Amino acid sequence: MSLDPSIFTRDWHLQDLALERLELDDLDPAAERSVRDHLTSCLACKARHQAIVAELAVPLPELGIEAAPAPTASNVVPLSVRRSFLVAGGAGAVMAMAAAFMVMTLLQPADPQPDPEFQVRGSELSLEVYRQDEKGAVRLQDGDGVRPGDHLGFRVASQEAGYLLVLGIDSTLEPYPCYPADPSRGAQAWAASPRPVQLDTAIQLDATPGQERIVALLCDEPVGLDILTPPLRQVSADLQPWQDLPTLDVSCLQRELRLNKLDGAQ
Amino acid sequence: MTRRELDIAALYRQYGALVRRRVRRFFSDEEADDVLQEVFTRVLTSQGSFRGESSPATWLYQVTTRHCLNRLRDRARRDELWVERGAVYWSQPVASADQEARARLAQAWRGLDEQLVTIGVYYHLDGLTHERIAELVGCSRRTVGNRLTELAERTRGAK
Repeated sequence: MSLDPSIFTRDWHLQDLALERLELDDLDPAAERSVRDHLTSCLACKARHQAIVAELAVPLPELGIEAAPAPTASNVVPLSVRRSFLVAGGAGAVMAMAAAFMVMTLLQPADPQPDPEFQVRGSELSLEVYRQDEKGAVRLQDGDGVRPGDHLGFRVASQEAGYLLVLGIDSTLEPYPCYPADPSRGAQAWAASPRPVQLDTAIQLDATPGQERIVALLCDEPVGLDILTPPLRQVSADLQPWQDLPTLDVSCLQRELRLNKLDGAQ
Repeated sequence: MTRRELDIAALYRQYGALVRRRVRRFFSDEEADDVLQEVFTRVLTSQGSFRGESSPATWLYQVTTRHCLNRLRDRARRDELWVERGAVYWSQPVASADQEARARLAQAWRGLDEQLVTIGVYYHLDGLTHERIAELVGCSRRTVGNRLTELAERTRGAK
């Protein structure tokens, strides 16, 4: 007798997924019939089914994420305005440099294992962040914890050429440069590379507590950190920790990774 | 509201409870809701990988499994957390799991590649057939068999 492998386990019981889909009315008629037939004769699966029904009935928390809103006039800075920020933004850039000490060293990830879901595969820009520790470089995922003093390195891949800028934003909402090292140089010319390329900069995290966002921007023109600082501050102020940054500039592709700064003693 | 927002909200309403159950196989109740949010954040960024070849429920089951395993693997690099979380996960009662295989898999966890761990979880913990695992992982049944043999050999060595 052959069993449908999408419904049954090797030992002829129903998979949890099949029982869950039954409750969600998500099975096709034939599969539903098989599941119901089995439930009439298998006490073990019947008991498990009842437990699953009870568990699925527990109310869900509110979904705390939403898609980034489309660019609006308020979060897009026209080119003419951007240039006027070049001088005024200088002081902010210096402060930002103090927030994160730039370490001009090349981090060599130890055999990085790209997560298939984060490989380029059709998306146009990807960002990988690594933490260097005593065992080598460790790939960080969204939501991972970091500590003051951690060294972070970066790898970027893109299907398109452009100008690349990577910046960090901590809870003070003061952006700081991750790449290039000198924010006054603006975004660096970038050749398309579908395979991740190691950037030649790294940062050492300071003790500012809270969330740390690392954002990569691939732009049509060499925008600078000073240009992005005002819209960044504007959109960051009302941003919830689980939300992505809205699009900062329609001429840029944008990717970000959120990290949680843990207390050094934790 | 955009179509993308509608999709995520609808997916959450329809399948959120299913995802939460899967997450609870890996993490404690206290953490499950946080991980649930993480999974849907990942869904938001990776929904392009859903090709409609299977039910959204099956796709979410795969995404959730992968996310939870990655989360545990990253933690495993931090030894103290590995001990804490690993114990929670591997002690979950699974009807068709072989106790000895589970223990071996837990011991050898850190040295295994992502596909091998995923296949091991589907086989030893979820009790799935080779055919079903091949569908979920995206490889041949023969590969599943070979990798399970490899898993048995490597975890035997780690014993």
